[in-house]
This record gives sequence, C-alpha cells and structure tokens, in this order.
Amino acid sequence: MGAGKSSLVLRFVKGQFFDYQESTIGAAFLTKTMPEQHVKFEIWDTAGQERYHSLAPMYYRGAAAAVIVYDITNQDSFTKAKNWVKELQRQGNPNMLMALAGNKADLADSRAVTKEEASAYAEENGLAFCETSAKTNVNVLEVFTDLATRLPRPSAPQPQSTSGITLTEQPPASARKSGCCS
Amino acid sequence: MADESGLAEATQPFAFQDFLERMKDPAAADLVKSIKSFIQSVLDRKPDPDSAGRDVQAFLESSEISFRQHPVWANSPPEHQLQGLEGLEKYIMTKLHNWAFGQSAADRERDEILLQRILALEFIWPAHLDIPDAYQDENSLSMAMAELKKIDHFKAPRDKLVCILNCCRVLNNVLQTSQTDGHEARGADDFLPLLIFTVIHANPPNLASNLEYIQRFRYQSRMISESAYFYTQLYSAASFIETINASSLSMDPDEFVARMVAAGVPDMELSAPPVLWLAE
Repeated sequence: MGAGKSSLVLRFVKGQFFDYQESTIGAAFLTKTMPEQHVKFEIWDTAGQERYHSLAPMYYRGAAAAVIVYDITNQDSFTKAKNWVKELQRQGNPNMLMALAGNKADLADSRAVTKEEASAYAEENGLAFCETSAKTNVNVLEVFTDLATRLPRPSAPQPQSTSGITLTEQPPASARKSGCCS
Repeated sequence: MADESGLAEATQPFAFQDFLERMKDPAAADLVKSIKSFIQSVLDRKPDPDSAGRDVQAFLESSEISFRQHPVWANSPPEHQLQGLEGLEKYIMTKLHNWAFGQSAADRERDEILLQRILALEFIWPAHLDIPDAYQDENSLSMAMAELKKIDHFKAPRDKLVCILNCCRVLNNVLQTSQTDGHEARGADDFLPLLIFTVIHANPPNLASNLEYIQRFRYQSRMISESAYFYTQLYSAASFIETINASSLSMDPDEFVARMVAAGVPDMELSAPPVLWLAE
C-alpha cells in the first residue's frame, strides 16, 4: 500500500481526506494558490511503483520543490524515501527544495520508523521534515507553507509565481532544521 | 462532473476563424506579410525539424510582442490576444506540417520500435500492470483510446495536445468514478498504468513523431501546467513501452520473453538490463 502521497495532496488542496469506502477523486495533477505567500503550486504526482522508477526524472526535472512521502508504519517505505532523496540530490535541479513527510502519523501505534531517526536523517541531508497525517489533517498545510516561504522569489513581486512540486514515492515525513512542524 | 484537473480550460476550443477574419483587415497587411515570409523562409530549407522548431518558437515569441503593439490586436483584451497567438501557431504549423512532421530519422526509428512493441504487447491484460478490476470500464477505455488515436489526424500542435488531454480526462473520470476497496486517493500510481494500458491497446499512429512534433512546435510558454503534466505522462508511458523488458510487468519473465519473441521482437532487447552497482 502506498504512503499516502495522493491523500496528502488532496488534503492540502481540497481540505479533504478520502478513506476506504468514500468516493475518491483524481489527484495526479493539482494546483493550489497560497495568496499569503504569493505562490501558486502546481503539484505533479509521480508514479511510485518500482517499475516506473526510471521515468521519474521526466517529472522532477523542472521542479522547484519535491515532497518525499513515506509511511511511518513501514520501514521499507522509509528506505525507499531515502533512495529518492539520494537520487534527487544527485540528479535533480540543484536548487530544488526538498521536504520529507512521514505520513500516517495517526497510526502511531503501528509505528515502524521513529521520529528521531527520520528527523536526524533529514537534518543531515538538509531536508525539511515533519510527520503528517492526511487523515486527521496534522501538519499537512505546514509542509507546503514551509516550502512556499522558502521558495526563491522572482525579483519583481508577482501575484502568482508558479512553482512545480514533484511528489515522489513512498512516503515518510519531512523535517528540517528550522522545522516546518515543530 | 466538475473537472478537477483544469483540463477543461486547456482543451477549450478557440476561434480560429476569428483569427483568419482579423488577419483580413487591411491594417494587418504587414503582419500577414511577415508571417507568410517566415513560412516561406522555412519551406525553402531542407527539412530540419529541430532548427525549424527553434525558429518557430522565436517567431511566436516575437509575434506575441508585436501583437500587443499592433493596431489590429492592441485594443483587444489579453485573452483575445492569446487566442490570436493560438491562431497564429495553428496557421503556421498547418502550412509547415508536411514539411516538418515525421522528418526526423531518429523519431521515425522510435515510431517503428514503438509500433513493434505495441503490436507484440497486444496480449497485455490490466492485471499485468496491476490495474484494479474496478477501472476496467470498457466504454470509457475505448473512448480514451479513440481520443488518443486522433492525435495523428491533426496538423496543429495544440490540436494534437488536445487529443492527449481529452484522453487523460476520460481516464481521470474512470479513476474518479469507479469504486474500489482499500484504495486511497488516486494519483499517478493509478493513472500511469491506466494510460500505458490505453496506449498499448489504442496503438496511436506515429506516436514518437507526434510527441516530438508537439515538443518542438507547441509554443513553449503555453506548454505549461496540466498540458505539460499530461504530455509528460504520455511521454513517459511511451518510454515505458519502448524500453519494456521482462521485469516490467506482473507476469512470468520467461513467458513475457517467449511471447515477445513469438511476435518478432528480438530476444536480446527484452531481458532486464544488467545492473551496475556503484558503491561509494
């Protein structure tokens, strides 16, 4: 099962969470304007299955920021997230901002990845990090607000600077020094 | 149904006729002259799609500026100027299409590889791509395939792009309306396999040539947002098919190779590539 990256984005963009039985909506491409930060996010979801891995550069090539999502109840998803971070560090746009999000924080009882481990990893790698819950709406807005405030501004202030965000793979949480979610 | 991805806007028809009418205005004579001379200057050359692509992009860019200042367009609202530019792109590329389309040997070669792979992959079922049963809405998938196949019928890059977007819109609707258990919000993890399945069974003609044509000749500053995203989806679906190997699908690798070889695809190209580990 996925780390919940699409749920995270839907929660951010529409303030909704779609659980099992509820109807779902497409979330491959979504946009969200954050008027206070003068940012319009375009969110490019990237297929996370291993067989599509080699296609990912086509999606993150032009991205200004990346959110890498893992599932705190799944150690394997954290390993995959770290692999994505490594790949983005090597092959992504050097100015790309990265946030690591440890999703499913509402399932803390089944936790497999400690917050300390993920947080230390994020700190070492200069990533923003927080644990999120798309389901209970914890820290979702914070992840994106933090990225929005850190994006480089165009020299002349414009009402809408468009920035791509690429969502990658399996989901853990993101943290970083200044901490998007303390 | 509300279109959640902004596809409606990107596929809206625009009034090409209106562009042609305005260009008949005697005040537009200088514009018409420069457009015609640009087209002729390209047609006079030996076909070279890459350099022609750069020239068309530069011409559209300078036209965007000159439209803003030209009496025929200056007093129109920005959205009309935008439509004017769409009209210009369509006009130019309709004239250049036969000269520019399918003229790249590299694209042609990829068309052939894709065609060969796609024909060999006819046996693919949704399960091979882990597509849930709930998405197997035959009517919708046929509709998506029909939209995609139309890509080769049009000459203007935007019209080709609209075929892609229409196809993706239908697939988005399939994802939005079907009921599955235990599924979270549906994003790219669900969308891409469905698109790959659609491409294989639609077998759109000259797929690589069409994709590259759009890339070269669609005005770059309009190749943004959902248009760019769903274009990238199709591009990556085509790459997946082009480089498909025994580990790409949920099926027995030996059976995969046997089927591909039986369909005439050389064995060597289909085994998984050797993995080279670089340690630090």
